[in-house]
Amino acid sequence: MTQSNEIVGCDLVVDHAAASGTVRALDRVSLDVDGGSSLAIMGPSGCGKSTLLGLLAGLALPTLGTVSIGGRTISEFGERDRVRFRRQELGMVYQADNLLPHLTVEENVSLQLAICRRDTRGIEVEDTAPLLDRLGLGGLAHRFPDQLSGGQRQRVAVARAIVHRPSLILADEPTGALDEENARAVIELLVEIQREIGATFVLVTHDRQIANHADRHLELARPKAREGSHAG
Amino acid sequence: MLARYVFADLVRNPRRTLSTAVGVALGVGLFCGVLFFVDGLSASMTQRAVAPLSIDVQRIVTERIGGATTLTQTFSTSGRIRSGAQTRVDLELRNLGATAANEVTVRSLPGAGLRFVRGSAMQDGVTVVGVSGNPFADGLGQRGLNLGTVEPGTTRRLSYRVQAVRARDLDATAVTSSSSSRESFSPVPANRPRVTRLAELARLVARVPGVAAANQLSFADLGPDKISAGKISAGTVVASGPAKILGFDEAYAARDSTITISKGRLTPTGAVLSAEAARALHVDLGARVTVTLPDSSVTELEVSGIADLSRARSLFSSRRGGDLETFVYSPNSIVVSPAVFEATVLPAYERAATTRGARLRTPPVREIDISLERNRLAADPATAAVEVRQIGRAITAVAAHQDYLLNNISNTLDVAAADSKVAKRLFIFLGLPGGLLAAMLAAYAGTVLADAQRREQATLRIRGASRRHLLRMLALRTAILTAAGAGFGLVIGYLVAGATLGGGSLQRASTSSLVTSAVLGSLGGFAATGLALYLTGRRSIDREINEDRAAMTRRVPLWRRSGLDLVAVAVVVAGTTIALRVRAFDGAPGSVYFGRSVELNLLLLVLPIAVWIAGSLLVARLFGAALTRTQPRSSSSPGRALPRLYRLSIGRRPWAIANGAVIVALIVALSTCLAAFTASYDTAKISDARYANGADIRITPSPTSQRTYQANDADRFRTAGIRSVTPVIYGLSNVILKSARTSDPANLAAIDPGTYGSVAPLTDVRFSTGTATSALAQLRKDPTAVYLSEEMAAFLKAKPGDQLSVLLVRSTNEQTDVSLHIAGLFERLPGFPDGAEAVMSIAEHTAKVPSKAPDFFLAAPRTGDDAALRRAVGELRRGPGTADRLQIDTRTTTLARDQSSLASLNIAGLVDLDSTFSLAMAVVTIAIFVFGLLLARRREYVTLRAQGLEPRSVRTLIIAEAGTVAIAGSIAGIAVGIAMGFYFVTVLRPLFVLSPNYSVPIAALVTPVLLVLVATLAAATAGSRLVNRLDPTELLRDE
Repeated sequence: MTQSNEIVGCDLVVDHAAASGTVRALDRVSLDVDGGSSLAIMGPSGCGKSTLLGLLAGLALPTLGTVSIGGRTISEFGERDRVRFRRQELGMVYQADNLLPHLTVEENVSLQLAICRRDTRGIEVEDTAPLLDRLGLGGLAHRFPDQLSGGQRQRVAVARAIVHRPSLILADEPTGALDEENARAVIELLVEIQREIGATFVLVTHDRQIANHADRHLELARPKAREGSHAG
Repeated sequence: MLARYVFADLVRNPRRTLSTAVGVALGVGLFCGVLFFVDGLSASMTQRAVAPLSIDVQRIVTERIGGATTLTQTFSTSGRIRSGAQTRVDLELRNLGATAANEVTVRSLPGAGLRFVRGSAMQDGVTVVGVSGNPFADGLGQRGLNLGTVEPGTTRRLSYRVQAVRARDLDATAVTSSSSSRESFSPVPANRPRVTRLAELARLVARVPGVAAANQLSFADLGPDKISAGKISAGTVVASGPAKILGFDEAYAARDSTITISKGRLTPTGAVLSAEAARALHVDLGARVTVTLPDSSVTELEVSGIADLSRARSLFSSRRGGDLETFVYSPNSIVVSPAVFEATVLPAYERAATTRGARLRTPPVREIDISLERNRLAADPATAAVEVRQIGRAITAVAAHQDYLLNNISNTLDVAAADSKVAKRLFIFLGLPGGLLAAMLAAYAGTVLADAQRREQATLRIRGASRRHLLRMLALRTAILTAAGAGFGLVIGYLVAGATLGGGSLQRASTSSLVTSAVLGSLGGFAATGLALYLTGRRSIDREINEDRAAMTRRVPLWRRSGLDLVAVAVVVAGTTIALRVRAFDGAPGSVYFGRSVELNLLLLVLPIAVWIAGSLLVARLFGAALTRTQPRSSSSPGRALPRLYRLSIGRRPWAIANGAVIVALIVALSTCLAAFTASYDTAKISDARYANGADIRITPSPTSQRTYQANDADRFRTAGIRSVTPVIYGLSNVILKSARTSDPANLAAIDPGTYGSVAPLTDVRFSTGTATSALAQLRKDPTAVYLSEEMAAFLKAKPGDQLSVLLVRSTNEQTDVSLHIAGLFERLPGFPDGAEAVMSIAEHTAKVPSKAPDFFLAAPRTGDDAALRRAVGELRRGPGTADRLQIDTRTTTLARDQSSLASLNIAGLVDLDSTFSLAMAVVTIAIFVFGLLLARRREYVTLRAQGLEPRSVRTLIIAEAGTVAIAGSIAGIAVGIAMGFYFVTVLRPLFVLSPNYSVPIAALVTPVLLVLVATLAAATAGSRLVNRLDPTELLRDE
């Protein structure tokens, strides 16, 4: 029986149209991540790590292949269902914090709850304060992003990604812009919370030490150039 | 390398490039358009200024009746006279005329270096005695020698000797002699060339280059008012009242379209009668009429034609200086050929003038009326004025010294040239807000782009680009964008100005002026917009990236920090106060006849512009402050996502919103101001024209009409499209008013008090006693009531309540005396350009003089719009107009006739041009705002999408922010525009005859506001589609 947050990707291919012809960003990649486990995706630049993450997040659709989350094939969802999926099931962390500059720390975090609440009226919204305290941001709730350090901003980004208790956490180089100490703190925090809430965690990283925090590793190779793929 | 990067950047970001270049193009287009518009308008000012002129140039013959005497002066020796030597001065006076010259006086005075030899004066061979000194310059007054009467054909010889005190030449200045007579009291110098006959003079003048035609015109008054009066009669029937005899030929009649010979023609021996005279005498073609001239001689003429002369301005305009615009029509007129006038009429007047004891008050006028080749005059009135002055000198040089020249066209062009200068400055001022707007738009685009390029510049810095590199790139980018925009703007400006002016006006403009405008407009626009674009970009580069990001949400804009809005408010307050104290808003209206152009204090035009800037910035200050106050406090309560995001976005970035609103407000304010100004201008011009015409429609039965209308015939003109018609009896000096103290001829209007008020644009302020309504009620109630003009009442030394004796239809067979009492006074009444001096009830007038028909009818269409007016006139032409000849004047035709002043300038055209560009700029501003928003915040929007916000919510957010800017800017713009328009109308008041009522056309305001809102919706929708097409995976990954 499939767990509710198991990830299954089958023969995923992503082609991009470019001025010089079609460029293959992802070439027949398959993956299977058990619900509640974690996977670190590694590989050289240009091998399609972020593209794969985009497919898992429902931000993009594969040219070929399917993506299923918890038994639902999200690659066949329409835009509205994918938006609903992201809103309810997904938490994302990026290398850049991507916080809204005009919102304070607590507003950035609670905005995710506000977005989420529209379709989940039965769910009681949690107070963000305990979460911020736990992430060491308790005294910074009223600060704007530009008043925080890089590590603090990334912790806010983590808080925003998990505040609504998603079933799937995706992180794209979440520690890429941090020093070693902050990087370790952020990844440990992510794994700890992922395990606590039982979410499936997929992490893209170049850093093997960071990758070692995950249950499994997936090494991607750079896609081969397709024969006759040039559009001319 | 840098150039390639900049070029690639511009090509690969087409939306940024296009929005900025279009902004620059619109700004430069507007500025060039205004300059081209001024060129085109100036080019048509000459033709427009001279269009209403009936006679370009007049040579008025000053040789007076009975003045056909000549004086010849010679010396017995010639050449140089030695000191102590003597010579004889011989004077010979001849009367070459047909009548005796009376009281002929000869005056002769030796010049410097010569002395009169005592006792040497001789008259017809006899020594002049009784005078100790020079009898030709006797006493302190240097009186001349009176020869008494000199009979026609006789010669009188005079002489005296002079001795040289020092050696000198015996030239024309050696002795100064002249002669005068009772009939010709202006001294005529000796040796003056023989007077050229009028026909010969016309022929000579016609040959002068630049003269299209020169025709002779003579006329003289006949009638009971004139001493030595004459009359026109047919058998026993006499045309009663003042009459006129005119002498001109068919060529003269052909060149003046207001002379209509409706039957027959003008022949060398026959006479053309005015329609009124023919009707009064009951004669038609072929009948014989008798003209009794002032010397009682009688001339019998065959009626060869009948004419409508009632609108012939060249014949009946007053020739009195300072009164040239007065139209003094004489219904009973007879026209003869110039030959008949010279052979028969003129001698009769000479005889009357030379009869001892008689005095001719108004001698015949003889003149050459000259038309110039108007189409060869320079398009610019100042140059044309110089040209016509040169032609005038050439005309004067032909057979000089027997007349004087009235260069009407030169006076008109002088005024037009002065008006043209005022117009140029005025139009540049009206166009100035557009230019400023263009610079502001460029600065705004620069700010938005600089924000958007912050990340790119940071990347370039990281890669090693120095500040110098970035500035060079900025300069290059600015130069390319501005040059491209300026090039397009030049073309757009030319095309729009040409389309607005129409009719090939720009083709008439000189190439040099167009080239100057093109250079000024494009370079000025290039410099202004380029500088604005460059400076904003430079400021962005000079700021540290981190500081920029940190300050983004809180930074107060430069105008707010420097208090520019408060400075502008201070300028408005101080300027208005000073202008009110020195009465600078009053100005002075123009008048061609007084040779005065419109006086506009153009410094005052700074005030509306200051109101515009001050108002817009002040509103933005308040708006920004209000948004800052509504800024929500930090809260962890989630609330509803979209309203919360909206509140946080505008509350935390108030000045970005306020800056966008300022630009929208400036544009909407300019549109509102222009719409309000146009509406007020149009309304005032229509009111002026309606006032001059007496009503929207004026129906005058043609003199050639076979019908006789009565007061109750007003109903004949009432059609479906005409609401009301009222009859009016009116004439120049048609009554004599006699008070207890004095009497005077006056212009009386007899009106129907029941209907006049519903047709004529009466205003209470024009009545010194009571109101318009009470005056009409009084006239209706009391048939013996009369209202007097304040001026006439003061002259008669009469006041309300006094009795007045009124001689109605004076100088006619029906004239009758009535006793009326003065019920009140008025200042001015509509419909009587010459000025009605008394008003009474038409019922009472008709009761006393039943035969007197209304002179015209005034009518009002159902509604006041142009379509209703056209419909009403059409009905009149198709209805009553087919049964009889009617002259229909409307407020529109009256307005078209008044094309000689600055007031007739195509201000509406300029306003259209300004409005078109303003609206286009409004659209571009909104587009720049929305796309700037997207450039600056695309990462925010994509993050929100990744967080699960639907695309439509992102679209709603963008629309809400842009909508806030658009709505706030529009509301502020309307308020500021209304104030700005009021100032414009106040400053330009001298353009109007009547004080204009400031009106704000609500319907016209809807267009710019709707356009701004639609543009907001369109840009936001297009923008949100772009956002939703962005690849979040790539965008969110980038640092």
